[in-house]
Amino acid sequence: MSDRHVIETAGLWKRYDEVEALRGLDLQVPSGSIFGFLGKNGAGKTTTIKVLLGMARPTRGEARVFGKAPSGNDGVDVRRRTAFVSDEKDLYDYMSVAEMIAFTRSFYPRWRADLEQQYLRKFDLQPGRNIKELSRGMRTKLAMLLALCRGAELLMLDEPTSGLDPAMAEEMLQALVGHVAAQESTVFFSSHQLAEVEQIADHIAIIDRGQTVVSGALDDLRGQYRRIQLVFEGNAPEIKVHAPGTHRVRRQGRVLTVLSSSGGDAVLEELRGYRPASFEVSPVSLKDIFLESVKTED
Amino acid sequence: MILLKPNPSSGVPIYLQLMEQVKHAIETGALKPGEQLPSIRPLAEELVINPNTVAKAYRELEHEGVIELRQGAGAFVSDKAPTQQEAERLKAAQALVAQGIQRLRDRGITDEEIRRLIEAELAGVYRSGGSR
Amino acid sequence: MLWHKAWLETRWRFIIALLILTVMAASNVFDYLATQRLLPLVDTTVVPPAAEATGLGGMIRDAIEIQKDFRGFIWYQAFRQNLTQMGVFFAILLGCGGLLHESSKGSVLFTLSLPVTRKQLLGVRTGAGLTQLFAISMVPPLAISILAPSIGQHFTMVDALAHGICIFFVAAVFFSLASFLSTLFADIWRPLLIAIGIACAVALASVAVPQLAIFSVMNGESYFRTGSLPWAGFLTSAVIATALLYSAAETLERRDF
Repeated sequence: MSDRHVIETAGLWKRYDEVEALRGLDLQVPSGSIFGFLGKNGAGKTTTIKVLLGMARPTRGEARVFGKAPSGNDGVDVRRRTAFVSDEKDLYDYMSVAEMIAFTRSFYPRWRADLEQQYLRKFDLQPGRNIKELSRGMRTKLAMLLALCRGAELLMLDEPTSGLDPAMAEEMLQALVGHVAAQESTVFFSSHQLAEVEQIADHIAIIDRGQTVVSGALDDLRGQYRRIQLVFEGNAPEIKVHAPGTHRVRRQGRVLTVLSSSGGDAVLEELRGYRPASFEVSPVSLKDIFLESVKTED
Repeated sequence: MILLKPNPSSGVPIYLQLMEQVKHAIETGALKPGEQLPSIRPLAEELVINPNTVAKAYRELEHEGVIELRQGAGAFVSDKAPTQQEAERLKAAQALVAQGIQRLRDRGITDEEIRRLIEAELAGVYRSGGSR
Repeated sequence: MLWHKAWLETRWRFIIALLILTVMAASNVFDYLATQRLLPLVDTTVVPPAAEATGLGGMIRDAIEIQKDFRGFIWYQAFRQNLTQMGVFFAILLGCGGLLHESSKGSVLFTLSLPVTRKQLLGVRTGAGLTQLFAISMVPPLAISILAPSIGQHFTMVDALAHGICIFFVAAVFFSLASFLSTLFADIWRPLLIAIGIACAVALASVAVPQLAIFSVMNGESYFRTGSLPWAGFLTSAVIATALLYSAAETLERRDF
């Protein structure tokens, strides 16, 4: 019985002493999606995950996972159905690989022993090795194994491929994609790697200074954003675009560049009205959408 | 059948790239009518893309009549006439485009300018949502 | 498997504490052999009789008198000094650590993502710690009991158990103090040093304020002198320890990680 949205926040605020990490965050993660959560360092990605798992308490506003607030006994239930992998992927360095697996397994009644064997082989993890001796790549693989074998409905990953070389990163993404295809689960992951988000995510949200600035289905967003370049005979006029969804108007000599997210005709019509010498429309990559959405005030 | 890894940053949605690859494979004969396509999960894993994206591509291809999705069996290249017609249609369209481009070149218009003109025209087609 | 984790995190401290305290107690037993010959030779009649002597002189004479027999010697050396002083230190050491300290090592987010409450995490760690505390309270006195016959003396099991219990109750107070301080400071040093500081302060203050004589509960003075266990002291210790653990739980509950 899954709700439409596995994760939902409404007006979520989180203040740590003097710092406001989240300032009215709104988020909806559809069930069964692979959801990419993007933002600059310090934008609030990790804080959001911590609040959703009950590691930090909201100052104001609501956060719900599986329809429940992640505190008290509800929080325990949320965590039983969720698999979390932290950014640093720190585990207990006084345990061995096998001990770590046995320890984790004891908390999850839906543990998949078959997947455990599969991933031990695939990731080439030696059960007898001490976690202290593992490289960052191997530790990431172990952390992934611990997450994928829990029988969890939701995977929450903070920068899953950080610190990994491209080959290993691709291995991790492949494991994720394979897991989602076979099991019914939702993946919520934060990332800096825009290319990998574009590769596997079907929904995204961009967070900047504690607020959501962009969110939606990735295909929809790509269809909506356009870069329009107008070149004029003389100097480009200073114009004010009235059509909604216009993000930036930049003038440089004879060239005027407009970033628009409405995708509709209104903007194009309005701009054609200025009778440019040439008129060029091109699609915008996620990187451009990201950079445009999190730019500093100008 | 070999499918190339789609380019996530090209600006063209991945499902469209997949659809193009399938259609191209049919045109060149790499995929024959009635032949089975890879199923969603292994294909997603191999290309390391979202399984929903593969599903969407397959759905759109079925909608266009290029493939058939048979309950429980998988995805198969449609062996009805539309596939042939589609290939023919595209061949004819390709000839028209070649003609048009040649005429513009004759007028001294460069390839870059031609590309921009076409994009601008098409911009009216890419409305929000992307779905038909 | 939280118990297993708690054990792995504290086992070396526990083993070292157990060894050191047991060895100290054992060496006290064997020390008696040497002093047995010397103490009776000390002439305590050169100082004024007990009724009139106060202050340092009286205290020294009192101490010598007590230690003339084995039971007194053991009480004075082992329980009053070594096991109380080192016992408090190790109780504090065992109480340090926990979730907040784990946050300085990174794996705390993994622990907090498990389907358990923070109270459970603290509860298991406390349970494991108190069990270890019980062991290090009981084993050294029992060692004395076991080793005494080897030098021709005897120390009853009942006495050993009684003293063990006395040590345990007060050690639990300092364990809980360290535990509570560990929910306030993430590093290992501040809870340790502050708790030791408090222990020293209490020791000094109890000279002036007899009500604070928690260490006399710990060394079982009333049991030694009169045979009756310090029930009031036990009760007070239990109340203080419980209050401290409760505070630790509440502090942990409110903490953001």
